[in-house]
Amino acid sequence: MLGEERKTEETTLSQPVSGRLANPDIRDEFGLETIDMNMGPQHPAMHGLLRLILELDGETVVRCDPVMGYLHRSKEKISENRMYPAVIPITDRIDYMNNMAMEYGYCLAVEKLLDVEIPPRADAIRALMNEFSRIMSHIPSLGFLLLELGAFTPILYAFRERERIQSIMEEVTGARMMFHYIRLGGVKADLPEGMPEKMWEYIEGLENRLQPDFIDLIEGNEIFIARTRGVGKMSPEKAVEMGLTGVPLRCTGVEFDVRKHYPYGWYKNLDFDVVTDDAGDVEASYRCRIGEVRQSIRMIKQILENLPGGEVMGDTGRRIRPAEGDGIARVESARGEYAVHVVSDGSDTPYRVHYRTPCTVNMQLLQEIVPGHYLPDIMPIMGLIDPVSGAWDK
Amino acid sequence: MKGMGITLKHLFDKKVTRQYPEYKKETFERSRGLLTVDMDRCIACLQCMRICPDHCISIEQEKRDADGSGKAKPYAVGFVIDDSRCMYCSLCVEVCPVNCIYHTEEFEAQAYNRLELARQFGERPVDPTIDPKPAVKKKPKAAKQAPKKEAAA
Repeated sequence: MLGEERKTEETTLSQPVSGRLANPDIRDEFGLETIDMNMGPQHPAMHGLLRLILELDGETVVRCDPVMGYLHRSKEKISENRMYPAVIPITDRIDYMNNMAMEYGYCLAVEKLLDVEIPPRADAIRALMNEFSRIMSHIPSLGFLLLELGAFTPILYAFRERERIQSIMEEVTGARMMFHYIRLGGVKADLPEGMPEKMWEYIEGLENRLQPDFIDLIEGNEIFIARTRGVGKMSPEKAVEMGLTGVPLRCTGVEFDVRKHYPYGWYKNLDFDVVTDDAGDVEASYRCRIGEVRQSIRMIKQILENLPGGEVMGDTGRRIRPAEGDGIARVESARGEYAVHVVSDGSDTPYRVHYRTPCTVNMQLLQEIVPGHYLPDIMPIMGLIDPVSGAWDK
Repeated sequence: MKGMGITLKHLFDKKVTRQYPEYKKETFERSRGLLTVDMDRCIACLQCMRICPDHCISIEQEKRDADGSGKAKPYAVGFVIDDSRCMYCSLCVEVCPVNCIYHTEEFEAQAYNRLELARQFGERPVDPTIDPKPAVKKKPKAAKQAPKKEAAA
């Protein structure tokens, strides 16, 4: 059992799975049909509000249809009725685990329409806070994955780290989750006095704690291997075909990272690796996330070593009215490629804002990968995608 | 076995949890708590009311000679901050020209009734349920310029 790859039914994978009723063709030797079952929208282990329509043959899933929209808050429409600076707090609430990247994407998109020069210190601080935000998102996501497999301890260690980063974030930005820190033209305020030293101290501590608390405790654990190795396995071709980004794509071995391949802001000056893994299963996604946390630590150290001086806010003028046209920006959030498209008609408010969140696209994986797996394997596969309810519904 | 060792190590570590109501977390200089207004300094410029994305600030303004200079200036007779709408984005604090609206360290806002969350600061209470401002006026430039272009052509 240990280390063996579970066999998935090739026939069910190739069939069109959407919008089908319970399949009467699939019967076992006793003549029993498959049954339909709803999982969610309120489910103790679900990452937010998601309903899965499952067709079960015994304990094997034959069909899995995700139904999204239970947390739809019409972010795009609200953005059309607000002035440009007032949209930033809205973007904070899209992906509430990795808020900083959401702000960053929107600000980059609007800045393409504005005639403003971003000071280098603001760029560096933006990248610095983004990497902290990524650690803040990746480490709890490991904890959630382990919690769903029945291990309670890692989530406590994960939230201990998250709380400590939140305290750092509160000291810099003023809030623990909804930061509203990145502004059009720069960042809200400079780092407080003594903050770089505090960050350095924390990052060194995290580097030391990562090995015992997250790697020694988890990697090599028999139950963890039995539940994750070979689960949710997909080929790189399939992943590219589905348009996945972020960890679900990189864990199949495809090297794609917006920070590396389409660098923006301060990432041009940073030296880091794109973490990939060949296995393409849940265990590989765990290794990718740990690797990305290590890379984030490396980037934060580089930024803190060469933090440029000067202003943190460019001159945008008192009233922000971007030129007519449209601006598109893409950033690498903790979950994958996040893009914002802003269309301006020259007025105070955007004409149209579109948020391309990675979760919405990565969720396709459920329809494609889950059939053929056992029912309890759904939760580790959700851990592989690591979706956030606010991000897939917007 | 390895896992047990880590557990034992943490057993003798310093505790990281706080017993909340007895021990509150430290606040920082920039922490964004509940909003408050210094009414003596307020010049009733209404900028905070206009910038607020959630329409949580309502101000009732009237012309009054408050400082005895003989000129009637705008004066805020009513000022209400509705905490049930506020999202602590700090836009009003940044826009205030006299720094009279600011965040306190207080972060525990709870009440049995939604209306209790609307805090009155002026001498006259303002109804917080009335939307203080209409939706942002849209002035599309394109519509204005289009006839001119046609005339030029």
